[in-house]
Amino acid sequence: MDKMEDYIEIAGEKFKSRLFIGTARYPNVQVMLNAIEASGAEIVTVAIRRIKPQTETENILELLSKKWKLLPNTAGCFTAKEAVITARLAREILGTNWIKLEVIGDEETLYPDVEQLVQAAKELVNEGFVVLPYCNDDPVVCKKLEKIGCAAVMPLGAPIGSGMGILNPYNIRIIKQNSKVPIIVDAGVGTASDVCIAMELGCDGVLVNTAIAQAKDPVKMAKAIKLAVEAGRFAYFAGRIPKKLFATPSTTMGDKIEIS
Amino acid sequence: MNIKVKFNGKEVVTENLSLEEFLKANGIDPSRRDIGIALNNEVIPKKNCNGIRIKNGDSIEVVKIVVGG
Repeated sequence: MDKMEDYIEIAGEKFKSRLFIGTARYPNVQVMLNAIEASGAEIVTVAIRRIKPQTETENILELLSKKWKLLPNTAGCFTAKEAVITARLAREILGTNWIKLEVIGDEETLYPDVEQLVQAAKELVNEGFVVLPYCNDDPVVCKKLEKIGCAAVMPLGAPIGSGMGILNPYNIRIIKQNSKVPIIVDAGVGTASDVCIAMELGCDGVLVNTAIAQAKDPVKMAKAIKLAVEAGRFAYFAGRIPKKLFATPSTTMGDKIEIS
Repeated sequence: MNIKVKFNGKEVVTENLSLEEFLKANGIDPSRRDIGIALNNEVIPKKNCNGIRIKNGDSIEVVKIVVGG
């Protein structure tokens, strides 16, 4: 693999970085900006919330939009209707038809509501959105979302913010092997090695938020995860050896001395 | 004459205003780049705010870009 020519392509747009960064839960805005910078990411996610004029803080749009492509999400939406309206509001504000579609089914696990998710994805694709749905690590659901016309599919590695890593690497592999659109693991990453595993499995990218934002040193973790994406990608192309139960000597056993 | 509308989920009593006047009365500059407006679940382009009068029973949502994952 020539690193210079390796890029991820989504809806006709090419990106050198396979790392997508969430902007929530950082200790402060400066750390967030430094961490995104260190990650080398080109796309960062943002959310849409009701305005509170009395408690106005920084203008996130101004801070981020000059340097990075903003990918709005529909986080916190529990119905297809809420998600579709949120996506339209995001398009109106940001002038982008890209949407990271989330339709949550349960507050405790934050697992997607697949029925509502599929419905929202259909509506948004029909309206011309570039839909990137956050979904379960279920090969059937991922295929369904691809067939609807989603530009990429974003299966979870583990529940959002759990840091448990890639809980079902076998499913992620199946999802990737079956897919013609990019597969981006979204949610569950705890540290750099989790990202490396996702990339070794052949995933096209990874979205990370909490693992960086809540690390003791978010900027260092951003750098570590950047390197993990690259390492995992190289390892995927290099092709790992199969796992075996018993040892195979790496040094030849022939011609060794034998002392009786 | 006063009317009742729902503004970001809360019922408020207001004068019969244009959408732009209503936003200004609530401390929101309608020309801000980072906000979006929906009236009765329909997204309203910001440039149209002045031409729309709010009416009794309307539901107004005003949102902005925030950090998110």
